[in-house]
Amino acid sequence: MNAIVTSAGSSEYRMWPASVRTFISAMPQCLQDDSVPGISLGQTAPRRWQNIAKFREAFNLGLDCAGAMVSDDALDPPDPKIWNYALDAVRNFAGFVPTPLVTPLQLGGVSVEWHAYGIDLEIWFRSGAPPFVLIDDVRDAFPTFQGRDSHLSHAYTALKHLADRSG
Amino acid sequence: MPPSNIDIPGQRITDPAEIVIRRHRRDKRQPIVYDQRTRCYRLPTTAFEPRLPENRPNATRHDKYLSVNIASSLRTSGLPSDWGCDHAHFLAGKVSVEAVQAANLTVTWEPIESGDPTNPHHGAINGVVELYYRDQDEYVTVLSSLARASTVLPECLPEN
Repeated sequence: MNAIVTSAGSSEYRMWPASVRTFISAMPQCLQDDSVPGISLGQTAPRRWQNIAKFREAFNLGLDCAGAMVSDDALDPPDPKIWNYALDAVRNFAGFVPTPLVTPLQLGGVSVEWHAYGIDLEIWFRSGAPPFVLIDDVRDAFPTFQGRDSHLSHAYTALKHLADRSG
Repeated sequence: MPPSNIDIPGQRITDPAEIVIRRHRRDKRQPIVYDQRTRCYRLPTTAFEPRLPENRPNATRHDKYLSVNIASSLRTSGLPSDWGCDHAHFLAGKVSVEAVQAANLTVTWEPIESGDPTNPHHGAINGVVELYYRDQDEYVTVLSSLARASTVLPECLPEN
């Protein structure tokens, strides 16, 4: 298993609550290569592995950023439940879509977003409410959407288009 | 130096052509959002989130407003737009007051005159925190509109 390494292996990292550190160390289990179902979208396995590695790195960078912001008292610590939920919600696409931008939200949340191939997709995960999704397709192949997406059906539609376009 | 025609802290800045500068913490290895409609690099939506007091009983700081710098104030003082922005850890983006007003928010001049550091160019985008507690869906939509109206300062782009 590839270990998740945070550059906040330092004082920043040690300042985080134990629950967050436990969560980080547990994250790789969600992203083992064999955990991605074998959806055939015409991509070769090596490329999928590369995408998955970059996907994992994107979450690591988001956590690094969160760690620095928590140290600066600029952010609430990441909530493991929310981050795990987010990871679980989008991980099936990890091998098939471009690398997302993962940024921490206040109140422990996380935003996972893509801006590529004409598609702008942002998914805001926060506790207490379904994810908020913003979708804009420059190519107008599917409708713009802004709102709560309880089952992420709008987000998954956008992600499937993104996978098709990036394939 | 305050912006032109503004001389009282807290006074509203109404000139739609005025520009405010917002900083955003990032890891340098993270990509910068490229807006596919405007074909410009912009700040992510999360850059416009204030530090909310909710769930932070032990926090020493939370925000009443979004902190920005006032571009004309920087310019009048001979300072660059990215003044105070450590490019190793931050992005800075500009947004017009017109875009802020379009989101039903206001901009005021809020110089920081005491403490360390002081910042006479400091301004505020008001109404975001209140919006979060009034309508969380509208809150995200408004932050998104600010992000889409933003442009990353050229000084912050990798080629510079």
